[in-house]
Order: sequence, then structure tokens, then C-alpha cells
Amino acid sequence: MWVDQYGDSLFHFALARVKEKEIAEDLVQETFLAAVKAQDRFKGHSSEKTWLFGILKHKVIDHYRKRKSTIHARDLLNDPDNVEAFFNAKGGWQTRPAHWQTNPGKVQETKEFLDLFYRCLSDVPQRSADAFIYREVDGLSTEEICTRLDITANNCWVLLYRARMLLRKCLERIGLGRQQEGNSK
Amino acid sequence: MKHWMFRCNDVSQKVSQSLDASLPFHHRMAVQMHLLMCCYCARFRRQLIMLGKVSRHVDDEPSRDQTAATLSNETKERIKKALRAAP
Repeated sequence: MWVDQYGDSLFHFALARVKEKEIAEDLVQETFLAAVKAQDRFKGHSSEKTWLFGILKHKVIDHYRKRKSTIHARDLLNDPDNVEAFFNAKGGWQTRPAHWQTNPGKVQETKEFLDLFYRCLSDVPQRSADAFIYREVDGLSTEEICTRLDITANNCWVLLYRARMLLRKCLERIGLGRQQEGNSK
Repeated sequence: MKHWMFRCNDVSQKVSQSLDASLPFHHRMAVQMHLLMCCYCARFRRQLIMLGKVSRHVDDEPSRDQTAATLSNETKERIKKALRAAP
């Protein structure tokens, strides 16, 4: 039974993200219910555990979206949809990518990084975030994402690019970045 | 846009795209050349790869950590009941 096999791992992950026991329990329950409904769509590309975690990650991001976390990428960025503003007129970085003071390979730092990561991802415009989650969390191909979102491959790459740019910018702004070499090119 | 003269904004797009699809040979070469010369774009690429890894991270810590929070038996039973009642 999934609940006995994966319940604790999923709960542990959810609790670390949302901090409230009751909410974490609800998210785990919603995950299992969604998994039962989508059971036919599980193709066995990944393990059952990875698949369930993928569903939970969608739930966590939805939760953040509904609650609107205190840190908003949209507030941090003047025009969050305008990725071009990240570059100057000559095509150089407006603000150079900073060195990140983290090593997500370490367990504790992974936890902290994941907290920031999910908060920031929940503030990326929904369509871009969906494309990103389908690609990076669920491991779908560009073609599969195109089908799900009913878009062209080019549109898909633009959405993914935008999501990645906004996500890393948000992460940098809320604590990961350390400028070492000055700000702009 | 000349392929052998990619700027950081072009390279950032191509680096992102390269994570999802194979780039044409001449674009791949132009990106590689740029990355050799631009530490910021190289850093950007490393960070995008890290974001992908973090996205796929699956936490299996409860199996290693005895103090980790776990679902109570009551909660597990409640969830099982909800699953049985699901259409």
C-alpha cells in the first residue's frame, strides 16, 4: 500500500516545505488521491516513488500559490515577464550571475535551498512554471509539454527559458547570491 | 545575430534550450566558445543544471533519520479510508 510505503517520505518532504503538520498531511492525502486518479498515466518511466514525489511537488507549489508566500518574485522584479531586461543594450548581463553560497549536495543546505526554490517557483508566472515543472520535475520531453500545453516547441523553449531566468533571479535576490565582481558589465 | 558572435543574452537562451533539445552544431560550437571566454555565462549554465537537479530531488531522509517527523497511524488510516472512498 502506497500510504505505508511512501507516506512518511512524502510527509517529511511536505512538512519541510509548508511547516504546518495539518497542511502537510492534507497535501500527502491530496497526492495519493491524485495518484489514484492518474494511475493509468503512470508509464513506469520513473519509479513509483519519484512519480508520487512529482505529484506532491505540484501540490506544494499550488499551496504556495494559493497562500502567496511573503517573498514574491513579482515584487522583486519590476516586470517579471520581461526577461530581456536582464541584459543591457549590448547583450551583456545587466546584473552578472552571482556566485551561489550553497551546496545542495549537502543535506542541510538542500533543505534550505528547496525552501527558497519552491517559494520562488510558485511566483513564476503560471504557464512558465508549469512548463518548468513538467520538464524538470516530471521529466517530460519538449514534445510532451507541447501537447499538454498546446503550444509549439519554440513557445515551450521560451516558457522554459523565462521560468529558469526568473527562478534563478529570485533565488539570487532572496539570499543565495554573493556578488564578487561588481554588478554590471 | 551572427552565430560565431553570440552575446550573453543569446547564449543564455541557447544554454537553456540545450537542456531540452539538441542544438545545431554551429550553435553548439558558438555557445562553447562563448562559455570558454565568459565566466558569468558558464556560471549561469552551472546554476541552471543545479536547478534541474534540485527539481528532481527526492527526499528519502525519514529512512535514515530516526527523529524525522512521520505520519501518525491515525493519519495513515484516515488517508487509506479516503482512498478507499475515492471514486
